[in-house]
Amino acid sequence: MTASPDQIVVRDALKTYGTGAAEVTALAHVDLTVDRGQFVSIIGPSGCGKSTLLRLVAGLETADSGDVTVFGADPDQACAAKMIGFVPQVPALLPWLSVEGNVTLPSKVNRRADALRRTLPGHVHREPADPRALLTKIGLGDSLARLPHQLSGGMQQRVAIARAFAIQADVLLMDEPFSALDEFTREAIQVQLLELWEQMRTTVVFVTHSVSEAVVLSDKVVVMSARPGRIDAVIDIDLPRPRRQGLLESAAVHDYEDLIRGRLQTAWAAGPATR
Amino acid sequence: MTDTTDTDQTGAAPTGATPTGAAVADTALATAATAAAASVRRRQPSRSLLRPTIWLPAVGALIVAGVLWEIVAINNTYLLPRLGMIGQAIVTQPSFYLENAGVTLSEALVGLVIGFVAAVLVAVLVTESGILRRAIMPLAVVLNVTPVVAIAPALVVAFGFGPAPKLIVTALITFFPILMNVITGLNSVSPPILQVFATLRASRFEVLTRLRLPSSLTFVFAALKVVFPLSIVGAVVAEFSAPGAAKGLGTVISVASSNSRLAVVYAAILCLAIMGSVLLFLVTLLEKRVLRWHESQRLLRG
Ligand SMILES: Nc1ncnc2c1ncn2[C@@H]1O[C@H](COP(=O)(O)OP(=O)(O)O)[C@@H](O)[C@H]1O
Ligand SMILES: [Mg+2]
Repeated sequence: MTASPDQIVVRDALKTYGTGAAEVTALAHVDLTVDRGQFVSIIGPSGCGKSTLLRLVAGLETADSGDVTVFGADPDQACAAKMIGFVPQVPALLPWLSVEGNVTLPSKVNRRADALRRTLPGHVHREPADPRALLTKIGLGDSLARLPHQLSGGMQQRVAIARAFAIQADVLLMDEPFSALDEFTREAIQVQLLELWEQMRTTVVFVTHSVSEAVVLSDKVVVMSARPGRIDAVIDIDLPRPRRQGLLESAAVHDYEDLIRGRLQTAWAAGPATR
Repeated sequence: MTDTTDTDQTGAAPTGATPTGAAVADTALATAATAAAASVRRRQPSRSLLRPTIWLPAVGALIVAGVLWEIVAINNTYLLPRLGMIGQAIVTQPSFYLENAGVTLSEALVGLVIGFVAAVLVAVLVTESGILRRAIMPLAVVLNVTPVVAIAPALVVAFGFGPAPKLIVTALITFFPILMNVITGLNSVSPPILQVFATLRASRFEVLTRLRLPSSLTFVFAALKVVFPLSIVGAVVAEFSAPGAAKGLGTVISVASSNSRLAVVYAAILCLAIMGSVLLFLVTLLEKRVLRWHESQRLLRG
């Protein structure tokens, strides 16, 4: 296989944790392709390996077998070149840094990344992002000097998203970033993420357990099921962009939501896979 | 702990605001234990110290203690000196106490600085390298369970009556609490933060300086609050072991008590207590400035 410079490819990945009786197959025979610029969501019951899959792509863990490439590079190189922006479930901000300090910190570490990035096959030149402009776009323009503990949970998570966008990563990996937020905040922040994404067109792999969130945001929804963690279905979401409030009420959205719920239920009913 | 915004109106005291006397160690330990635990209390008006409900209990207790002291002292002159005599001892020769306090203080502080620098260095080495951790930690633990006080006489034999044994004792006695707190602090960076910076391939040095060391600050201050009083203990104990030759409040105490001059003994003890309180106050003040961002500060203020 030749690694594609314009895709993230996970091929036949296997990942197990523990040994003997305690062994858990977190991922088995997982194949996933994400095109550059796509917004892809991964959905599935908890424990089905969504985070594990994301960590493999993020280079935080390595697969037991199979391979993972990020725009032609292996995850290790991709990290070294700062091609990956990671947004965990909690905002993970540094409490002693201001909002602006938090967003600019990633550009101050690993300064050799830019030079390395230019040498990689999947390199696409991007102007460095202006952190202030980014924060203004995401609605935090008047909070630049505030400290994380002075912000609400939703605002903190927006800072974390701005931080990931700020390094002009090639792909953003988000692990249920909105799951701790209340519903109103969550909807507002989804819209802001969409607006930002439509301007930046960064590739996004987004883990969620909310069906409607997956449909609203994504070009493609990957449905997973557990024991062992595997991919059950990949559903293209063919809805026009930009996606605004009006669209979200439309019948097409509900059709997709029903389709995905159906898939999740089939996966659930089928129980453990036998292959 | 959800709705505490206005408890101040009923005069609920910020118990952690001005740790004094015996509460010192407890407060510091409690801070260490809860340093990372977040509290959602709101910040309250800082002028609360001026309210009688805040300072009256402390002043009242002080007066009661003073009266009890006097009752005992009047009847047992050989047990406790009268408060007036202690005051007189200080007032008649203030420079004597000041000079000796200065000696003890500088021993305590220099020893503390040595202990602090060594502890931070060792903490960094031990958290960065598994081999060094396995090599050094058992030694450090043995050092901790050894009563450093018991080493003092041997140090005097080895290093004489100069400042060296005092600095060594103070450094040793302060080393371990700082070491343990800094290690905890360096390891207190939350896994998601480490993951974010792992995907950026921040170097170990960057992780250390940008994440781990700043994270450890809350724990450093918790340690300092324990260790400042401890450093004075170290200096005094070392002075006890080398009497006659040098200056310092410990020397004053041991000489005066062998001459049964109780007022002088207690005057020196009073100086030590004041010194410790002032140091603790300064550390707390510094902590408030440095750790403005930290949630435990809001807990203390609330
Ligand atoms: N570090 C780990 N050690 C052991 N088991 C793990 C570890 N991480 C994940 N697992 C197991 O792997 C499976 C998938 O976990 P995860 O990827 O976190 O699922 P999800 O994110 O979909 O909820 C679960 O059964 C979980 O218990
Ligand atoms: Mg997960």
